[in-house]
Amino acid sequence: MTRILEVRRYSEQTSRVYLKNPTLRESQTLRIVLYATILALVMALSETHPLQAQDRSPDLTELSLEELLEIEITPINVLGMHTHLGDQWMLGYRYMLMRGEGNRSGSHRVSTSRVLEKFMMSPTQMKMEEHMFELMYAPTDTLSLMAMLPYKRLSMDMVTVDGVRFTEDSEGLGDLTVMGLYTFHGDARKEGNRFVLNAGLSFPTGSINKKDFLDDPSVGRQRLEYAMQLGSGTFDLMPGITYLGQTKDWAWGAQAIATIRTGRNHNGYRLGNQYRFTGWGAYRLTDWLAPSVRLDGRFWGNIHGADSRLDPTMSPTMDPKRQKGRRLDLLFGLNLYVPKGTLKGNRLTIEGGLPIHQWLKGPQLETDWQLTVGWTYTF
Amino acid sequence: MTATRPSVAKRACAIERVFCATVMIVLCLLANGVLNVLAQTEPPREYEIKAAFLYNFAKFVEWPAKPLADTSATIIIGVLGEDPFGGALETIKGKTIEGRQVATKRFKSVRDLEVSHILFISSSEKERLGEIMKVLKDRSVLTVSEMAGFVEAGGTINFIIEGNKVRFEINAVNAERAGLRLSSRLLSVAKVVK
Repeated sequence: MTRILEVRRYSEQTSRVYLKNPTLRESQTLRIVLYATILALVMALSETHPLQAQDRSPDLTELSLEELLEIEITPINVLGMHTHLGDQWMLGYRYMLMRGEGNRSGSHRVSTSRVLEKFMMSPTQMKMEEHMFELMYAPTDTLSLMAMLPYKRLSMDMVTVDGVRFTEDSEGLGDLTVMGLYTFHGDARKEGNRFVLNAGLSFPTGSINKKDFLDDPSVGRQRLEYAMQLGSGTFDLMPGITYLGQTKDWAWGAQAIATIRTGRNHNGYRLGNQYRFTGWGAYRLTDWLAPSVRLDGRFWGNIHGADSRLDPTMSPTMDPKRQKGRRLDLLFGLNLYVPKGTLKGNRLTIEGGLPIHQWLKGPQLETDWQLTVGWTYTF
Repeated sequence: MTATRPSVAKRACAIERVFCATVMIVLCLLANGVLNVLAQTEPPREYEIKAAFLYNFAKFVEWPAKPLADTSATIIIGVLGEDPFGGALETIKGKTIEGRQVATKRFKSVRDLEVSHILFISSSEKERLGEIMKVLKDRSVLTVSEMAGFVEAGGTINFIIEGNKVRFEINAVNAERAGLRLSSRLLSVAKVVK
C-alpha cells in the first residue's frame, strides 16, 4: 500500500510540474520556433548577401572535347531529386531516434497513476532507434526502384501497480520494403512540376515474437506488446502519390502514402492501416547547403484481432483497441551535399522535430521528439 | 530487464541543442565567407553543352573547297528547323577559331538554306530528312542532329544522351562522301558507326 502511495505521489508530482509551469515541451517548442525564425531570417538575408552563390553561365567553349563529355546534363544537386536519372544508383543509411514520455488519452495527458487505476502496469517512456539501409536504382529517367531494410532497437520503461519498475528491450531487423517510383508527369531533367506514383510492398521479415523479462523474472521471458514487435507480420501494400516542384533555388513537394495491411499474421492479428501525408520545402543556400522544413501527418488504425498471449487488462499497450491515433510533426532539416571533388555525390541530411498535434486512443505513450541523420551516395 | 531512465527534462533539451548548433554553424559560415569560397557557377544544361560541341567540331574538321575552306571566311553554324538551343548558341557567336569569326544562322526550311560549315538539323525536320539530305548531297556541310537513325540516313554526327551526359556518334563514311576530313582526335572520342 505504501509503495502504491509512493508511486502515486511521484506521478502526481510529475503531473504538477507539467500543469503549473509552462510545460517543458511548450517552452521548448517556443525556443525551437525562435531558432527556426532566426534561421529563416538568415536565409532571407542571404538572398541579398554578396556571399550568395554566383549565378554566371559558364563558358563551355573553353573546354576540350574530353571535358565536355564529362559534364552532367542534370547535375545532382543539394536539393535532391526524390527519384533518380536513368542508370543512377543510390546507397543510403539513415539513423532515426525517437523518444516519448508520458501517456495521452485523446489530446490530453494522462498521469501514470490514472493509468494504473485501470491496468496492472503502465508504460512511462519509450525510446526507438532505427538504422535504415537503402538501395535505389533507376533503370530509366521515369522509373526508380528502391529497397529499404531497417534494424530497430526498442526500449520501453514500465511501472506496475506495486511500484515495480522495469524496462523491456527488443531489437532486430524490421520489415523489408521494396518500392517503385514512376514519374508519370513532368521531366526529372528539367525544373518545374512532376508527379510520381509510388507502389510499394512490405515483406514480413521483422519478428512479431519478441520476448523479454517483465516485472517478475522468475516467470521467464514473456511475449512483448504490439509496439515492441519489430514487424507487422503481414504483407503490406504501400500505394502513394508524390508531387515535386523545383526551380533553380527552391524545391518543394507533397506526398500521400498508405500502408494497407493484408490478412492476419500468424499470431492472429493485423496492425491498423496507416495513412501518411507530408509536405516539405527546401532552399538552396549554396551549392552544398540547403535548409528544409517539413510537416508530416499520419493516421493509424487499431489492431484487428488480437495476440492471444497478450492480456489486454494487464497494460494498455496490450489492448488492440487502444492503438490508433494521429499525429502531426513539424521538422526542420539541413541538407549538405558535395558538388565536386573525390567526395562528389555524397549527401548528409540532418532533420529534427516534434509533434505539434497528437491524438491517441489511449492511454498510449506520446511522442516527444525525433531526430534523423541520413547519408546517401549517388553514382 | 534494465534500470529505469534519468529525467526527461535533460534529454528533451537534446533536440534544442541540435537546433542551436545548426543556427550557429550557418551563421559562422556566413561570417567567415566560406560560402563565397565554395560558391559555384550554375551547372550547364543539355543545349549549352551541345552548343559548345558544335563550336568544338569546327576545330577538328577540314572543309575541302572554297568558300568553306577559305581561311579568312567566317565559320557559319546553322540551325535548320525549330531551334532547341534557346539562347545557348549566343555563347559561341562572335568567338573565333584560328582567327576566323564564328557566326550562327537559323533557317526555317531547306529552301532557305545558305552556305553553312556546320548545319544542325532539328528533330522537327524528321519527316523531311530524306529531302534535306538530297539537297545537301553535293554540299560539303558537316551535318549534326539528335534524331535516332540520323547517321544511318546520311548524316555525319548525331548527339545521344548516355548516363546523364552528352555523347555523339559519327558516320565516317558519310563524312568522307561529303568531302570532309575529320580529325583523329574527334573520331577517338566518338562512337564511330561506320
